[in-house]
Amino acid sequence: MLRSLRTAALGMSAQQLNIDVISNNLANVNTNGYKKTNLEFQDLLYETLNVGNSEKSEGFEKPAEIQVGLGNRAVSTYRSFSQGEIEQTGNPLDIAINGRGFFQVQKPDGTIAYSRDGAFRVNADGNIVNGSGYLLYPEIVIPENASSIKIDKDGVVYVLYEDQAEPEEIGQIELAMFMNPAGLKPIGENLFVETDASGSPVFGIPGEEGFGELYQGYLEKSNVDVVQEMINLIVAQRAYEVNSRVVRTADEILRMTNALKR
Amino acid sequence: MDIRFDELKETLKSQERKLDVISNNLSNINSTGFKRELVFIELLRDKDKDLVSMKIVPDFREGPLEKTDNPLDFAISGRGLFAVIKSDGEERYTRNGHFKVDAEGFLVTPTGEKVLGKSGPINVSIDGLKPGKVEVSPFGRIYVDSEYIDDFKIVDFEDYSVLRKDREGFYYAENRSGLREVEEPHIIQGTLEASNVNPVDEMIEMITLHRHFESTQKAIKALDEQLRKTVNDVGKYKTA
Repeated sequence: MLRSLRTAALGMSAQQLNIDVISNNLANVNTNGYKKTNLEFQDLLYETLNVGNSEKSEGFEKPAEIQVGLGNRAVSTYRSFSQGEIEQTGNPLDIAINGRGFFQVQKPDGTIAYSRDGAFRVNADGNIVNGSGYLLYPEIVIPENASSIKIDKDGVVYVLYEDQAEPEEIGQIELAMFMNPAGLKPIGENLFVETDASGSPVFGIPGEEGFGELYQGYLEKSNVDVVQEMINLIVAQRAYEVNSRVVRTADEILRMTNALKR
Repeated sequence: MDIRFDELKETLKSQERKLDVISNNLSNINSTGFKRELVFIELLRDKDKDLVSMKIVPDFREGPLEKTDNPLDFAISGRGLFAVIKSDGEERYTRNGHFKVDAEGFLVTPTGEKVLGKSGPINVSIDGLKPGKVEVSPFGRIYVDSEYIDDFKIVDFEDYSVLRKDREGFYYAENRSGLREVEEPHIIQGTLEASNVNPVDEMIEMITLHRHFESTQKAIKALDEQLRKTVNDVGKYKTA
């Protein structure tokens, strides 16, 4: 049947996938530390056809073969790790990173995952944990009788006791950084794990070149730009529509071909 | 009797192929750096036969530039193509400047081909360990953490109709004909060149071919009718 029918169908399904990705971004517009993804399209492989007069005859040059494209495909989703907006919360265990570093958290199975979500809590044992209850790595324990917590820009954690004037240093937050953060694999709960594509993590302390400084009492919001996503949604919908027109034209052509013979 | 069904058949087929190309253009309305393709159909005369010949040529008009603010997105303003190298060592060209860094610090395309600088693949890491801050001057000079490392290799062709596409949609030229390096390209960082497909152009083309197909089909039917009359009615007696 007509090649164009299939090409248009591919175009439609690619746009559908695009809408899926956009809707996930919009759904996470309020998720702390969420990083938006974009779908990257490329044209699909090309088929080489012979034109009608491929037989060589005298006085004629054989025309160059022609190549017809077979539609497009989504090659990759690209996660943009641009900085999200940093918002004041006043909560002493909300920490935002202004840079390219990631927090490390230890999952219950002992493996390390990486996150930009800096909304931490203290659990019953005094450990600093993230929203899902996973331990911040390296572990930091807040003493029971501490009255307040202070985290400076370089990630050093101090506590103050009511009967003491000087703060006591209890730990150091370490960050990880990746060559290709877009290659990290999302595993849900705002967490990522390393892959071959991301490269191995480089560890460092906040404030070191590239890692970024920490801001206590602030949270990094999602980097989804609602206006941009709405525009993407409009474009995707129209692209879907225009491809459906091709289907209709191809259908008409097939109808007329069938009508050749009464 | 000289009934030219052959030519009409070729015309129908060429319109069908034209629709293939238009549908491919429309399908790629969102593909970064995509160049729409144009179909030229011409009639050739071979001895006493008319032949329909078809040519597909990329239209290299610049697509709209879109700001993304991603430091690894690049657009070329004006002529030129980025050079990339495939895993089999073949050099290919593309207008799609949506790059990323791979695990070893090389600048790569979304499908993993290394992007070429004047002195080979571009590595933007610091000592192969840490990702550096990439800055590119408008002339294609690449700086990592303010240190000059290389220039983008930008090539151009005299005649874009020699360009062919490989299976992944990268351009290449057989025998590298007409290839030259661009000395002073104009590169814009943080920007991507969107597809240059304009839905209006394609819709108009589609309507034209649709009607062309229709009229050709009518012509075939008319010829068929004529043939039917010749076969059935000519020489028929009418007894009064």
